[in-house]
Amino acid sequence: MPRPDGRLPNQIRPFAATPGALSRADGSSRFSHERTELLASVYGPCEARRARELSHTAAVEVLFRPRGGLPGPREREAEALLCRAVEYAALGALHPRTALSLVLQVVHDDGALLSAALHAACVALLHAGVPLRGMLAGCTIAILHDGEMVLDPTAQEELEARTVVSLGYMFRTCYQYDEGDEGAEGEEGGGNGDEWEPPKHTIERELLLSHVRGVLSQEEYALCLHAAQQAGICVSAFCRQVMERSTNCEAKLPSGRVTRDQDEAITQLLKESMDTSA
Amino acid sequence: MEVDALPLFRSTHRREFHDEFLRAGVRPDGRRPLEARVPRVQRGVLSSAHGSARVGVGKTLVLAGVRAELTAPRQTEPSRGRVLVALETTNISGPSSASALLRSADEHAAVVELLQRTASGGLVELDRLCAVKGSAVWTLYCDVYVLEHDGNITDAAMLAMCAALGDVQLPLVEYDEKLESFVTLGPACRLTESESTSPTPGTLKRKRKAEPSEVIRSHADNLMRVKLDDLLLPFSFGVLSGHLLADPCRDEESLLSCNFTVLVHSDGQFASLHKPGGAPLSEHIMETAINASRNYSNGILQKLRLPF
Repeated sequence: MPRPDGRLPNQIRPFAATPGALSRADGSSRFSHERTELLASVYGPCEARRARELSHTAAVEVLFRPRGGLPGPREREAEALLCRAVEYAALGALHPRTALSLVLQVVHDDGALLSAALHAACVALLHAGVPLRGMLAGCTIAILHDGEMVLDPTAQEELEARTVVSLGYMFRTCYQYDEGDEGAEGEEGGGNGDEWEPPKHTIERELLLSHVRGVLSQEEYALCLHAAQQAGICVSAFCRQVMERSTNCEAKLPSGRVTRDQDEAITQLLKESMDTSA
Repeated sequence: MEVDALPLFRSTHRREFHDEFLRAGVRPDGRRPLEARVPRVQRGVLSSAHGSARVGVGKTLVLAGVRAELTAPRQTEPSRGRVLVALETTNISGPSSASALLRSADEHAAVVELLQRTASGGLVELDRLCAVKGSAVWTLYCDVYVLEHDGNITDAAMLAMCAALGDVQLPLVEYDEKLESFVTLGPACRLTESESTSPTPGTLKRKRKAEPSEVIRSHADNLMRVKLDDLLLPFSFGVLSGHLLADPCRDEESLLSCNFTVLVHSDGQFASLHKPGGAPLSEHIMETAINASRNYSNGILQKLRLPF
């Protein structure tokens, strides 16, 4: 059954990302899921205030600003969640005794805010050149009263939903080298021939965030995890593409937008994954 | 001179201390890795609140009190009451260094939102908090105080909140045409004068005791217990050096690489999982934790002696 905006239940909205949207920050991004839009800026690693300074790692600070008014409990929670996710994702041990601050400004909220914030943060961190363990990406899933699951819900859909699940993943591309190879990482196996070819790789997915409003069954949760992984892989591939493009041609920063073909490919991918897991 | 090496080792090599125990399949306080402390719940501990509860989990001690106030309903939902939760962690709950304080501020924000979401998302039947349809609804202010922090605030605060909300008894309310105010038909109940949001058609006024006999007569019948619709039981877990620990204590909490909370329905069915960042959670560990919380929930209601 199509949704009010014409999407299929398992279709995520087209997203757009602009790395370097702000000129004064060390790293910044504008990320939008159609109408949900955020601006993110990263400052650091810079000098930490003495009270915040940590001897073994960088102190991460996240500020989450709502579109209007003062930050409330909801924003403070988002700050806490994102802060702990970024703390893990960033290799803070490379910059001990420094501070890394991430500011997220909501431009427009049309649902799936937490995952959009995660994506904006990821692109801004990449743009700032902060070393990361992996790509941060996730998905918000709403379960309607009739049990139907819709991906990347709009604000209206979130309001009508029985349960809203926001999941944040970290995706790492693990290359498989021959045993004894320098810098081997991940699982063993996978052989390279005489001529060079890109090493085999797998995408490791690790659950960092789980935020649930309402209740759901274990089967539904498993399905959500699966859908978020698939959606997250698409988003992280997109972020990677955007960053590659923006670093190759510095003169004009392109704003990556998912084309119709890509969108259909994503839909197909999600559909298949939902079918197999159902 | 003999020196007891154990406390020294414990304070200087905290991780190694715990690792050594976990390798032997036991925790420093004598529990198994997946053994949770049995909570102690006492209800009705405060006479000044409409509902209250004290919950102890090990040395962690949490006190919750609920204050009910008549307020004007929102225009969009004229018959739904509200529940507002606040969590107070003060310095008396334990010493904390600067970095621990920062961490606890984050933890605090995540816990209080979890409590709020649970309270207003199906725990209390908000439709039953309607005093006079369209003009006055009950707002329950639930304040949770952490008196002693020995780890696992999430579970203790959640249980205290549920027990205190389940302890609330609300008087029936009627609109009195003559007095042009709302009167309660139960025992004396604090009704505050509302200022900006005055419920229509009249303003709330403290009821003057008219006839004591009437009040006493109506006492038994006119009190309405707040019904908890869907009780969720929280079970927090942590991962320390790859070992899954149920109900971590404060010592362990500072060493955890990640922590998460599984909520289950009172019949043991999975309800939700909250994970506020931290190191990743593998599916295997998640499975183990969910199964463990299912087992705990078996008969825990009887153990807690909560008449939910």
